[in-house]
Amino acid sequence: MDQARPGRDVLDRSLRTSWIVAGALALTLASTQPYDALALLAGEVISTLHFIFLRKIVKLFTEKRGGLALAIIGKVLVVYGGLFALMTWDKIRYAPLCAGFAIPFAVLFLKSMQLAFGAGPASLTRRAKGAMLILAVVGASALATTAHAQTSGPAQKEHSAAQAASAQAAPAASHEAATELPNWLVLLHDFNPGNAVIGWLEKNQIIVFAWIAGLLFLFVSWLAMRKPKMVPGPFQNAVEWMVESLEDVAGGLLGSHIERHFPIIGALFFYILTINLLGIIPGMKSATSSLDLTLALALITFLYVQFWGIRNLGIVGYLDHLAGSPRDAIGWMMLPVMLPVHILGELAKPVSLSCRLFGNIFGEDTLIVVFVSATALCLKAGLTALAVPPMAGITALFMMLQTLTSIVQALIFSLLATVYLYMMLPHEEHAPEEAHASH
Amino acid sequence: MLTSIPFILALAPLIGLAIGLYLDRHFRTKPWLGIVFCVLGFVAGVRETIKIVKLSQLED
Repeated sequence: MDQARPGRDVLDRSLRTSWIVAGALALTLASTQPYDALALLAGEVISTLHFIFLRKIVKLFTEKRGGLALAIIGKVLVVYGGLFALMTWDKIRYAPLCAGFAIPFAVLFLKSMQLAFGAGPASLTRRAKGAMLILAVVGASALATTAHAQTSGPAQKEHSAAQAASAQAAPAASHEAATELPNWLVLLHDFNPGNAVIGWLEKNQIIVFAWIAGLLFLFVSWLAMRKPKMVPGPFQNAVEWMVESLEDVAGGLLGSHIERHFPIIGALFFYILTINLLGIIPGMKSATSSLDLTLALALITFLYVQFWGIRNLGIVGYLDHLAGSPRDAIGWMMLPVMLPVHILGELAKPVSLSCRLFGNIFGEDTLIVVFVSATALCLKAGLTALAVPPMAGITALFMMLQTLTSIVQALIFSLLATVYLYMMLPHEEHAPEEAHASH
Repeated sequence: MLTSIPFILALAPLIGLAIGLYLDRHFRTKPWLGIVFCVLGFVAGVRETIKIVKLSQLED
């Protein structure tokens, strides 16, 4: 027997395991939703084919043998064509198809993690135990789904009738998909639906929470610097430490310009940080989970950078910078191409800044909403053992992660603003060895 | 800082496309300006990426 190739071995074993899992899931679903079971198996087939073709392509590529193009064309036709054909068949739903497609990936991921932590292929007795466990879980879930299908038949009808009635009664209330946790403004509005002031505040809650964060930021700064002492107290010391650390990082890049530009960089960092951290408090909301606010912040940065660009380089120098500093005939000939390229590059900066901040914070918020809803659903279904330790624990972990993301995103936003400013400022008085910003 | 590269690379052609389509509607040249500006946006994205990589190397 030739030398075992770990990569291939893991892939083979993962595919085998994924087929066992997919088969078990399909058997569970087969009695109630045969088309979903079929979609799951179809997804599994396509995914297996994807891995087989991928392995073939990698092998042909590394061994530099012929037939690479054929393998690639075959993969595109079979895997993507197959997926497309399955998706156009209207009896197959996307969710089970995607689940089937994802099973081998998930199994491969778990197996690789297992390998990374030093666990090799399990012994036969352990495998037998694992197989028994899987069989028991599948059997139990199959029983549960059939029982659920039998009991929920009439209940579902009642439910749909009630839904239809409520949809007729209140059409606005029918689309209640929870995309965010209710904050105190939403709750206030729910209890006083007729109040015009609360209605206005609820409608403009992003602005309200941005104000709250701003006021909080001002209050904390005022509190820290109310009576500044030479030997600072603990609170003043903490705030000074934060400001000085940021000044060090930004100053490494901007050099002597930092004194002039630190107010806006620091304000951006601490303002975004306050807004982000506000979202962790229950009943509050991160205003940065709205693209409007992040775009406004990015536009402020953009205008500030352009203003300093014009002020430092002069109008002519600024236009020269935008045109790519043409100095010879080729440069002037490239002008019609380079000018739009430079303008587009400048425009991409604020958009990417705002999209990143919005995406990260919104994603974190949505993640927490999903897990809180899952916990609530578990509690509603009477599964307290599943709801409290694992689900609530995961939510708490994600909240810790949110704290970290809040700080990192605020830092990235302000540091990128610094970098964009640095690109616009004259660099002569700024030796390269000074640039030791710690990234 | 390097994490901004995917955003720049993905968004620059989209911004170019948006500007191109807007100009197309004005000058009735659909779809040519859209394509041209999308390509220019891609070039701008690559240029910005090169700048960012150079800058980060300077810092190291």
